[in-house]
Amino acid sequence: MTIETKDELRQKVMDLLRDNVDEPALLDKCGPDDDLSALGINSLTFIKLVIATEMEFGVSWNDEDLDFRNFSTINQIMNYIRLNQSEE
Amino acid sequence: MDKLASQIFEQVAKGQLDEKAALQLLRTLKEQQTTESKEIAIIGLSLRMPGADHIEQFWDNLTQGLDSIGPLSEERQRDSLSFIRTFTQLPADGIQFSHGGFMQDIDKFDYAFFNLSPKEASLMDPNQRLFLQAAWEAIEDAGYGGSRIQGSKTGVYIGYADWPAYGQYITKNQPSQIPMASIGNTPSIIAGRIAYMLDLQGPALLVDTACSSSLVAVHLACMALRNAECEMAIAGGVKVCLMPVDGLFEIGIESANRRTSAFDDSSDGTVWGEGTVALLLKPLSQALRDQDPIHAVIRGSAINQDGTSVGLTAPNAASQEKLLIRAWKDAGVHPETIGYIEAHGTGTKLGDPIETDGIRRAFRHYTKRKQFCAIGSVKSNIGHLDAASGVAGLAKAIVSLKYKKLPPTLHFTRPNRNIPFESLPLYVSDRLEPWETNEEHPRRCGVSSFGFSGTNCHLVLEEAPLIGGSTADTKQDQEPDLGDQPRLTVLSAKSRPALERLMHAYIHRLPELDGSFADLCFTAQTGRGHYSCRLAIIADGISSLRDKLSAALEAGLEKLKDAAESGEGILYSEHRTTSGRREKRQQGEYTSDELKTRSEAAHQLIQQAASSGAGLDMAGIEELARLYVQGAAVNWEELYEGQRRSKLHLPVYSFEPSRCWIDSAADTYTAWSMPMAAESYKEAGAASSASLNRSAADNAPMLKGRADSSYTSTELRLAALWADLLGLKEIDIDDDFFELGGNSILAIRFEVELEQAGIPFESEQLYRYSTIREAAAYIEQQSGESVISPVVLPNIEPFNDLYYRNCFYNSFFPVVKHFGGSILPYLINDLLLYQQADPEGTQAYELCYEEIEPQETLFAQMNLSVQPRPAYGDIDIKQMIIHNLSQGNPVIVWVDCYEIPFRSDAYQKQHVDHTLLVYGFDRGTEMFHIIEHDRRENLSYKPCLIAFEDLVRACRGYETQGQQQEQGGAYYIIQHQPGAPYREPELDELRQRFESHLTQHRHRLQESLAILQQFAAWFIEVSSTEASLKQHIDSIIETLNQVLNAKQVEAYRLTALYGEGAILAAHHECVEHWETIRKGLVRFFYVPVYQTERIEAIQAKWEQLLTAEQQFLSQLFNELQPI
Repeated sequence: MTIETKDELRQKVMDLLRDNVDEPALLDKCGPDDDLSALGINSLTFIKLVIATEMEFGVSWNDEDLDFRNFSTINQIMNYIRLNQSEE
Repeated sequence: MDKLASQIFEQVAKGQLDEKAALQLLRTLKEQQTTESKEIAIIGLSLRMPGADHIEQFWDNLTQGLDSIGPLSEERQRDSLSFIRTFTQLPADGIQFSHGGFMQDIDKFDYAFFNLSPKEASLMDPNQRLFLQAAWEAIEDAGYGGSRIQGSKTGVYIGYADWPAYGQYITKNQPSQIPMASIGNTPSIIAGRIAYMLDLQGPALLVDTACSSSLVAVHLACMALRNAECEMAIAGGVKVCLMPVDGLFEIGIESANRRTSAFDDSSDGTVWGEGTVALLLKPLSQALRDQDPIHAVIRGSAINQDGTSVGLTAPNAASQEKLLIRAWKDAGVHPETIGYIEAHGTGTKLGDPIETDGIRRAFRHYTKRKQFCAIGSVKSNIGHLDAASGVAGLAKAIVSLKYKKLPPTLHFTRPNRNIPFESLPLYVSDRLEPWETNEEHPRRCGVSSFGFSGTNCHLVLEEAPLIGGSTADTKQDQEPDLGDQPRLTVLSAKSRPALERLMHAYIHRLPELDGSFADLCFTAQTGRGHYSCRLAIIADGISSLRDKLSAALEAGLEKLKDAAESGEGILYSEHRTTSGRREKRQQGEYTSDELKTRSEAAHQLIQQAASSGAGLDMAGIEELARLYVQGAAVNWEELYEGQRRSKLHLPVYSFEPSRCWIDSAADTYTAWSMPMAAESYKEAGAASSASLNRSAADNAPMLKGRADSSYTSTELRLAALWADLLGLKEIDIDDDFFELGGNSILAIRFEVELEQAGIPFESEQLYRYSTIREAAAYIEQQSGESVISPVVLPNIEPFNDLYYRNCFYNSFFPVVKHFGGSILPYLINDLLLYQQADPEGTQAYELCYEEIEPQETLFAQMNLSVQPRPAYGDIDIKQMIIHNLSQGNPVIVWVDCYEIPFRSDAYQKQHVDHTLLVYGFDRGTEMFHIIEHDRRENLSYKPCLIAFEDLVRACRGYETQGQQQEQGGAYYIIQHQPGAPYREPELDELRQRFESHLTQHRHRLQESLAILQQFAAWFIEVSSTEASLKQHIDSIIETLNQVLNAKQVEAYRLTALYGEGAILAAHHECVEHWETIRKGLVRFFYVPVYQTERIEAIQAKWEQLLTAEQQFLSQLFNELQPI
C-alpha cells in the first residue's frame, strides 16, 4: 500500500477510531495530542484498534512489540503507522 | 490576761458585775487569746509520691522501709523521647534513662471534671494538672469541698522551681498551639488557676528558692494566716521530671549507686524524684472553733539565707544553726521537747555532716543531752523531689505524728565518719519505732529544707490536739449519738466509674474511720460538691453503711438507677440539666425550673423538721434522699442548725485517669529545616487553623442528642469546629460550650473561624447561645432562613490505581483513605490462586482471591464498622443516605447502571450491577455527590453529581432488574468507631504480615503453580485446532483479564511493600508474558483467522510464562522468607 498524505492518513485513523471506540461522538472534540483513554480505550479495545489498523494499512505487529503507549493519541498512532510502513 | 480575769472575778464577787455578763466576758477573752495564737492547723492533706497515690499508701511504704527508686516505665520513656529529641543533642541510641523516684501516671488528668477541653488539657504543663488535682483533694480532705470554700479569703502558696519545658516544647514544635497552650504553661497560673476555679480571694503565688521552695511556701502561708492576709491557705509543691536521663540536668550531687544513703558512710549523693503535696492550712484556733479535722499543727517556722558562704550552692552550718534557733523561738518550744527532725538529708558526703553540725550547734544553746532526738530523711525512700522535697519531708513528719511512730531512714548501716553521732543530740532513726513521749508535752518534730539558692527553711510541728477533730469530747453537748438512728449518707461524682471508685474507697476506709457516724454523714453532705451521679444511702451506723455500699456495688449502679425505693435504703440516679427548648428529653434530664422546684421541696422538708424540733423522721429522710438523687440542691447546713458537728477526713473525689499529653505526631517544626523556619511556621499555622473542612476530616465528630439523628448543615459545621477547637470526638447538640472546656479565648477563635467561612457570629453571642442547637438556630435565623449548604465529606479521592476483586472496592478504598487508613492491609490479605473452574461454568480455569483473614477483622483493625444491609426493602433511600452522611458516615450503594444518566455505556441500554460511593448531598440542588466512572472496566472514577431521584431509582433498579450476584448487601454504611484512633499500620508490620502469609501458605502457592501448568497444557491442546480455539476463546480471554487484573494487584502490593527491585522485576516479566498471550488471543477473538505461526508463538509464550512464574515464586520465597 502506498504512503498516504498526512491528511489522508489522519482521515483513515479517525475513521478507524470512530469504528472502534465506545463513544465516537467525543472524537470530534479530541485534539491530535489528547489522551484517547477519555474515549474509553482500554487494553482490549486497544487490540481491536491495532488489528483494524493492521488490516487497513497492511502492517503487522508482533504481539510482543505492541505497546499501548503508541496508541494513546491520534498523532502517536499516525507516527507509529508511518514508521512501520516505511520499514516494510 | 490572767490579771483581767481576776479583775472580772473580783467584780462578780463584789456584785458589781452580774454572773451572765461575766461569763460572756471570760468567753470572749478566751477566744481572743486563741485568735492571737500563732499555731497553724493542717486540716487537709493530699499527696502523690513515687509508689503512693494517697497518705495511707505513703505511710505503708514508709513503715515497710520501701525504697521507691526505680527505672522509668516504658510508657514514660516513650513520652520522654520527644522532649529529649527537642532539647538535647543526644543520639537516640545514646539515651540512658535515670533511675529515680517516679510517679506512675503524670499524663493522666480528669479534664472533664475541671471543665477543660481534652485539647487544652493536653497542652497544659503536667505540673499544673497534677497540683490542681492535689489541691482539690486536700480541700475535700478537710471537708471543704463543694461551695464551702468558694468566695473565701483563701490564699495559694506553691513551691515550684522548674523551667517550663513542656510549654517550650510546644513553642518550639507546635507554634500554632501557643495561643491555647500559653495559660496552661505559665507557672504562676499553677496557683492562679485554683484561685480562679474556686473563687479564692487570698494571695496566690509561686515561690522559687530552688530545693527549699515548697517548705518556704508553707512558711509564707503560715505568716500570711497569722497576719490575717487570708483565712485559709492552700500550700504545697509539685515536681515532674520530663527528661530523666543520665548526664542531663545533673548538678553534681547525684548518687552513682542509685540510692540516697543519708547519714551513711557509703553515701555518695542523691537520686531525683517526683511528687506533689497539697495542704490546706488554717489558724489552729479557728480550726478548733470550726471543728475541722486536724492532721497536725505547725507551731512555728523560720527562713533565712546563707549569705556569702563558702560557695553559692554550698550549705552553711552557721546559718542553719541560726535558722533552727529562730524557728524554735517562733514556735515557743524548748528544743528538748523535739523528738524527731526530718532533715534535708540529701545523702551527700559533705552536706549531711554540715546539717548535723548545724543542728548540734543549735541544740547546744539549750541542752547538753546526747542522742535523744531522732533524725531521718525521706529522700532515702523516694529521692530528692527538688522544689517539692520540703513538703515531701513535711508529709512524712505529719503522718509520723498522726500514727505516733517513727519510720526508718533507709540505707543506713554505718554512720558517716564525719558525723560524731555519739557526741550529738541526734541518733538516726533506722527502724520503725513507736514514738514515745512523756505526758508533759505533745509529740513535736522539726522539718528542714535547704535551698541550693542559699535560702533555708525550718518548721516546728506538733501533733494535733486531742480536742476538736476527735469525737469523744464533742459528743456531750450535742444530741445523743445513738448507734441505731437512721441517717442519710450521700456520695456523688461526675461519672459513674468515679462514683464506683469512691464507693470502694469508703468500703476500704470505713473500718478504720476515726469519728462518729453522724459526723461522717455531716461531712459527706456539707463537705463535698454534689455532682450528677448521685447515691443516697439510709443506714443506721457505719457498718450498715458499709454493707449497703457493698450491696449497691454488687447490684450495679446501672440496675439501681431510678429503681423504685426498694426498702433497702439505697437510691441512685443520674441527672443532667437541660434547656427547656429541647424537644425530647432523655431519662434524668431536667430543666433548671424542675430542679429548682425540687430544691425548694428539700428546703421545705428541712424547715418543717427544724420547726417541729424532732429532726427528720424516716419518711422525711427517704423523701430528702429521693429529692437529692434527682438533682435537688440541698442546703445541708440547714439540717444541722444549732448543732455542733465535726468534720472528718473522708475519701476524696476519684479523678478519671484520662491521658492528656502533647501529641508529638502533631509537631510541625523540625530542627533540620532551620532556614525554612518562617515557612514552616506559616504552614503550621495554615494547617492547624480550624478550617471547617479540615476539622471535619481529622475529627469526624459524632453529633448526637437529636432523636431522629438528623442535623442541619449548620449544626454539622459548628460541631466540626467545636471538635477541632476543643479536641473532642463526640458532641451532644445540647452540650454547653463552656462546660466542654471552652473559654473566652476559644470563643474568639470560634468567631474568627466562622467569619472566614463567611458566617457572621460575634463571640459574645456564644454566652447566650452556648449549645450547638442554639448557636446554629441563631445563625440560621440571622441569615434569614435555614442555611442550605451542602454536606460533602472531605478527603474523598477517587481510586483509579487498579481493579481489586470487584467494583465495591473502588468505592470502598476512598472511604478507607478518608478515615486515615491504608488499603494495603486489604491488598496483602489475599492469596492469588489458579483454580480449575467449576465444570458447569463457562471458564475452564480461573484465578481466585482467597482471603486469609476475614474482611471483618480488617475492618476492625482499621476501627471501621462496615454494616451491610441485605436489601433496600421499603426504606426511604434518600433519607437513609442523607442521615448517614450527616453523621459523617459514607454510604456505598448497589445500583443498576441502567438508571445512571452519565453511564453512556448502560444508561437506558442495559442493566449492569454496580456500586457507587455516596459522600455528599446538597439539599439546594437535590444532588448527591458520588464517585463513579462513566463506563465499565475503565479506571476513570471521578467525583460526579447525581440527582436524588436518579440515584434512588438506580438503587431500586438494582433490586428489581439486577442480577444481585454480589452477596452481602444492597448497601453499606461505613462508620469509624467513635473515639478510636485513625490507624495507619506501619510498613514493617505489613511486611511481616505478608511474609508470614507466604510462609504459612507456601504449599498452596506451589499447588496453584501446578494448576497453572495444567492450564498451559490444556491451552496448548485447545489451541491446536481452529474449531476448539474458537469454542473456548471467550472464556480464555475472560480468565486472562482476571489474571492481568490480579497481577496488577500483586505488582501494586509488592511495590508498596518492597519498592523497585529484583522481585518486582521478576514479577514484571510474568506480566509481560501474560500481556503478550492476551494480545495474541484478543487478536484471534476479533479476527478469527487461525494463523498457525501466531498460535505457535502464543504456545511458546506459555512455556516462557511458566518458567517466569516459577522463577518469580522461588524468588519470593528465597528473599522474603527467613530460613
